[in-house]
Amino acid sequence: MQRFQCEPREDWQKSVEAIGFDFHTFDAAPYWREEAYWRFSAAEIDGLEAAANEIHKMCMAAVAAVIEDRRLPLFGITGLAAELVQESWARQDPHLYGRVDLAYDGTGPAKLLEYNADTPTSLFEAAIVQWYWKQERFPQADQFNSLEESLIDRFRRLMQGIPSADPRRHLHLSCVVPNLEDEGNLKYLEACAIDAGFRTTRIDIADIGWDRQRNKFVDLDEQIIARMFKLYPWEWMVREEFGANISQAGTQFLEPAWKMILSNKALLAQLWEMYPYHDALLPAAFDRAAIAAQSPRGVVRKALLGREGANITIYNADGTVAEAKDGDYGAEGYVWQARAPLARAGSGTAVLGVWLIGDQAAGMGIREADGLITTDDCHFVPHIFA
Amino acid sequence: MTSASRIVLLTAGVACATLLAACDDEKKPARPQQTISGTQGKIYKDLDSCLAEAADMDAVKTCREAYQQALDKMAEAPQYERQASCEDVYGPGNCVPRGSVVHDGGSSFVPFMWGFMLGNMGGGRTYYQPVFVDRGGATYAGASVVSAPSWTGGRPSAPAAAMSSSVARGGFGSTASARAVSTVGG
Repeated sequence: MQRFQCEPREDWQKSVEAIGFDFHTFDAAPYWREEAYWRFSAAEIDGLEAAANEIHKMCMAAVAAVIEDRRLPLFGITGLAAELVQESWARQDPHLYGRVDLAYDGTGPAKLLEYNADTPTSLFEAAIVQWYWKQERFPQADQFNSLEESLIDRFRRLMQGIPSADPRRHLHLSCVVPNLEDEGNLKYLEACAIDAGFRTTRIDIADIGWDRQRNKFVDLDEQIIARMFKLYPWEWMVREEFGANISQAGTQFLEPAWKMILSNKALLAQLWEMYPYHDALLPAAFDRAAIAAQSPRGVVRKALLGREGANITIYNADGTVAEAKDGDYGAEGYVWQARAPLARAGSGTAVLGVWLIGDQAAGMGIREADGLITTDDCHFVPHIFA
Repeated sequence: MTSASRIVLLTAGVACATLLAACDDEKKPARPQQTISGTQGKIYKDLDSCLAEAADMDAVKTCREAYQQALDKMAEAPQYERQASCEDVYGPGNCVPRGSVVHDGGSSFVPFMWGFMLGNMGGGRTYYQPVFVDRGGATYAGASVVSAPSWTGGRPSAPAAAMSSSVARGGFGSTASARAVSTVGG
C-alpha cells in the first residue's frame, strides 16, 4: 500500500455535493480530502477482506461466549442492558452492519483496533463519495467497495418471509437531529432500504413516542414502530427514560442490543483471551501488567464505551504518554491494548475501516488523523487497488 | 407580523363569541396566515435563555423588551371558551385561564406561552411574539407558523402530543443533548 498525492478535482465541492454529500467540510476544514489517495495491491485487499471476515467470525463467537459464561458485568453491562442483550441474542435478532478499524501499514498482518458495531458512521463516504471520485479519477482501477449492493441485499433478507401488510416492512430510521453527518448516514441507509422495498420514515430520536395504552413505540403519526434503525448508542438508550419500555415494546432494533458487546472495548480483552496470539489481534487485557511483556511499542488505554477517540491514552514503551485525548467517558472502566504501528499518512496516521454488511466484509474507508488518535477531526481519504 | 393577521385572530375571537359550540369542536389552531422561516428570527424558551446570549447591554435591553412585548401580546392569543377545547389543540396542561396572563382577561382559555420570538423583518425592523406549540409539535409565533424553528434554551418536545393521546415523547435523546455531541457515530 502506498499513499500518493494528487490534484483534487476542480470544483470538487460541487462534484461531491451533486451526489448528496453535504458534510464534506466541518468548521471550514475539509473532512473529505482528495488531494491524496491510497493505492493497494489486489493481494493486500484480499488479505484485508479475509482479516475482517475472520475478525467478525471471532467476534460472533465472543458474543456467544460472553453471554454463556455470564461475563457481561466485565463489560459494564448489567441490569436492563444485560437483559436486552440476552433477549436479543436468544431471539437471534438480525444485524445490519459494522465497521472494524484496523491497524495496517502493509508490512505485517492487519490488527483489530476496535469494532464499531453499534453506531458506525462514514458509510456514505465509503460507499458513494469515494466511488464517484474513483470513477472520475481512476476509471480503470478497482476499489474495495461493494457496499451498496451488499446493503440492499441485506435489507432484502431482512424482509424475507414477512407478509406484505406486516408493519415490519416499514422501517423507521432515527438519529439525533439536527446533525448533518449523522443525518447523511441515515438518509443513505434509508435510500438502500427503499431500494430493497421497505417503506421508511425518518424520525428525530427525541420525537419517538411511547404509547402507554398499546405499549408500543410510535412515530409522530402515532404509527407503531415495528422496526427501527437507530444511529444512537444502546448504552445511552437503556439509561434514558424510555429505556425501560424497550423490552415490552416488541420493536426490532437495528443494530440489535447484543451489539453492545461488540461495540464495547472490553471485547478486545475477551478476544485475546479466546484467541491468544491470533494474527489479527493485538494483546489486550483489563490489567496493564498482563500485556506488558507483549507490548514492545507501548500500550494504549481505552475507555470501554469511548467514542470518536475520546478517553484514549497512548503510552510509549518507557511509560511516557505519547498522546492522550480526554472526554466524557471512562467511568465504566478501561481496557489496555498493545500499541500497533499505524500507516503513516504525511505527518499523521491512517486507520483502515473495513465494513461488514451482515456477516461479510464489503468495503473499506480510510480515515487519517493529524496525530495518533483517530478523532472526529479526522479526514476521509479515498483508495483504489490494482 | 402584519396587521392583517392580527385582524384575522381578532375576527376568530369574535366568531367564537357568537358560535361557541362550533368553535369548541374546532380541533385546529387558528389557521396561520403566514409562514415565518426559522432564519427570520430566534425563539427563546425564556428570558434567561435570551439574556445568556446577550453580548452587550443593548442586547440585554432587547431581550427584556421582546419578552415584555410577547407577554403583552398574549392578549391576542387564540381564545377558547372551554379549557378542554383549548387542550384538544395544545394538549392537557398546556392551556391557562386568560385572566392569569391578560389584565381583565375574562374567563376564556389561551395556550401556554412556551417561549417568545425575537423576529427580524429585515432593514433593522424587529417584532416580538409569544410562541405556542401545538400537540403535534408545530410552533406558532402569534398566528404565524414557524418553519424550522431554532430554539434557544431547549425546545419543548411536543409536550402536548404526549398526554392527549396516551403517547409520551422525549424519552430518548437526553444523553446526546446533555453532551452536545458532534456525532454519535464512530
